[in-house]
Amino acid sequence: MNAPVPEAPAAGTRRIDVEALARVEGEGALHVRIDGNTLEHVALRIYEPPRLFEGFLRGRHYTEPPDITARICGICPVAYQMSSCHALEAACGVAVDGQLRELRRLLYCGEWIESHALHVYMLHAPDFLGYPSGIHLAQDHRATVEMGLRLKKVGNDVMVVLGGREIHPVNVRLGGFYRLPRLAELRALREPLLRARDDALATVQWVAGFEFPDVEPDRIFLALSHPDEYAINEGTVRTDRGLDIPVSAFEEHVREEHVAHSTALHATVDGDPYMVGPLARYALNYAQLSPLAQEAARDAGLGPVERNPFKSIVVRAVETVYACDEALRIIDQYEPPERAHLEVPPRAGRGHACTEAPRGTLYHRYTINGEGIVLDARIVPPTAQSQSVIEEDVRDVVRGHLDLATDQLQHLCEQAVRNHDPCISCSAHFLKLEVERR
Amino acid sequence: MRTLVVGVGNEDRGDDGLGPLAARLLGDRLAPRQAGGAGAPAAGPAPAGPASDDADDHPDGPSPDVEVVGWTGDPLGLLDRWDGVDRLVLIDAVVSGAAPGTTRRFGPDAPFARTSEASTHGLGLAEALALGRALGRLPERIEVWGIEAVEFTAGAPLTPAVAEAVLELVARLDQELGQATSA
Repeated sequence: MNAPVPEAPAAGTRRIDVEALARVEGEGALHVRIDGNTLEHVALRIYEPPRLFEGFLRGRHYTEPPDITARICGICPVAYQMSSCHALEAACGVAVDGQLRELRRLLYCGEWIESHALHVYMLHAPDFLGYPSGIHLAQDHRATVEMGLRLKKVGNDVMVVLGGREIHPVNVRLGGFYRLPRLAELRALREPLLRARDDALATVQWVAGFEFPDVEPDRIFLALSHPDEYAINEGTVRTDRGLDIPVSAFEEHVREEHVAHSTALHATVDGDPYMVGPLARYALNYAQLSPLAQEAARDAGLGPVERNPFKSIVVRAVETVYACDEALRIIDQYEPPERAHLEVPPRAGRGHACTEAPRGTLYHRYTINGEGIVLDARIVPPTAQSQSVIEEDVRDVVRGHLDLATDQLQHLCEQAVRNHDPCISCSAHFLKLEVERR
Repeated sequence: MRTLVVGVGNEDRGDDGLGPLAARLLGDRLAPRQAGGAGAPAAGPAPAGPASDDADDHPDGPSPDVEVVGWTGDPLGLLDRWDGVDRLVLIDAVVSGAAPGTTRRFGPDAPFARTSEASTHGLGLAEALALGRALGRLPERIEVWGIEAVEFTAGAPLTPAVAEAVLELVARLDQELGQATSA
């Protein structure tokens, strides 16, 4: 990747400022500095509200974090609700099982479908087809984008039935739900989900036909893993290097340290940078995918492990097939539980949980007292965990393409960031990219 | 005629919350009249402004075909929300360098910068409108009310000038929508 560059456009200083790196959820900046033919510096600066939320949470009642933390992200509120519920229930010694657990999984499937469809169609696919945005893609490929939006809407619909509304679901509480979905509501999701599953299969085929740079960086994958299911809200924390620990030991292995260029922390597992998200989940949990999802993956040319970050779009599509499949399974086996939620009386203690947000493992830890007041909260969001690896991917791209014109190089850098579907924060979105050449 | 009013924004990010706030206030003003018919008192906060009236100004009240929603998340979801709507009224925070609280009315073709320069949402309102146009899925009548916003810090309150502008806009839309539907 460090081949000498014959005609590097590096005579003198070149610098490009892009007002916003589009199609990344969040705000932040990527700074790349190139001196002659040498890459000097790559820094992804991200602004991270979860840190602020940790402060907000101290002193709040233990029933509040699911609703408060759901507001961290408009794209993955369910992930925040689920990680906080599980962690607080663990602190109180309560395990939600049976149909309530299944319904939570169904809600999460809705979020996966919604978030993955958004990323695949509107944010990521334009990179591969040479369009500056999903809107330009829609002008030329209307039917395809309509299919993506239809798929996304089914995810939203699942979230509305389970969560009460699609953006910040209000129906989730400790122990389960405020109100159980009616059988008729769940059955009404069946037809749309069947169609969504077909759309998702078509999506896998579509994205598998894209052209991918031929790279296979050796990254450590970390994901939740469960022997009986493709892990979403429960399991042990595993890496592809043999680590397999209970969630309660997460902070013994995962360390975060401050870096000067970002409000986010850089995470390592046992001292090494690692990544979370679809590629990691897929590699660690391929065996637990449904037969249909496995078949779709095989037909798309994926092996049981995929290391090319550009192919994360294919894996996201495969996971969308799985989420539709799993949602259908849950609906078909559903029998209403006796109660919408279990009682979760407070007790002094500490609880930990990881769940799999669409973009990767999301860790929550809470300490509460006997009155149920939150004494301490810790949130480790997925993008922060992958941050070092995202920077490393950008370094690889720059080193391998120093000869490219700066605007093309910039586009590749942006794409390398978007491969990870980073949720850098939510809602006031300014991601600036600066490439500086000397 | 079906009218949909949408206030877009994130209530946890300072002035960005002006859209959902405007929607809530407007909804509070319209709801009792829609539900209770003529003469039902308007509930909720009574914003001051040129049209701080009550239901008597438009005795028929707005038709139930006026729907008001606050939208705090992914604006692309609005495409489905405004399906079948004839008139769409959008309220959003705008950043253009004007004085805080400056309120302007735009058509759907206004030169909104995509990705966050004018609107503050990643795949924002500008993208949702552009995507709607690309897919032929825009309501026939669209107006976008933009209020100049300056403060986006997490947890910050509304800038006073912005809060004032919200109250004025709510009063104005309350009157307009009432007249439009009772005409």
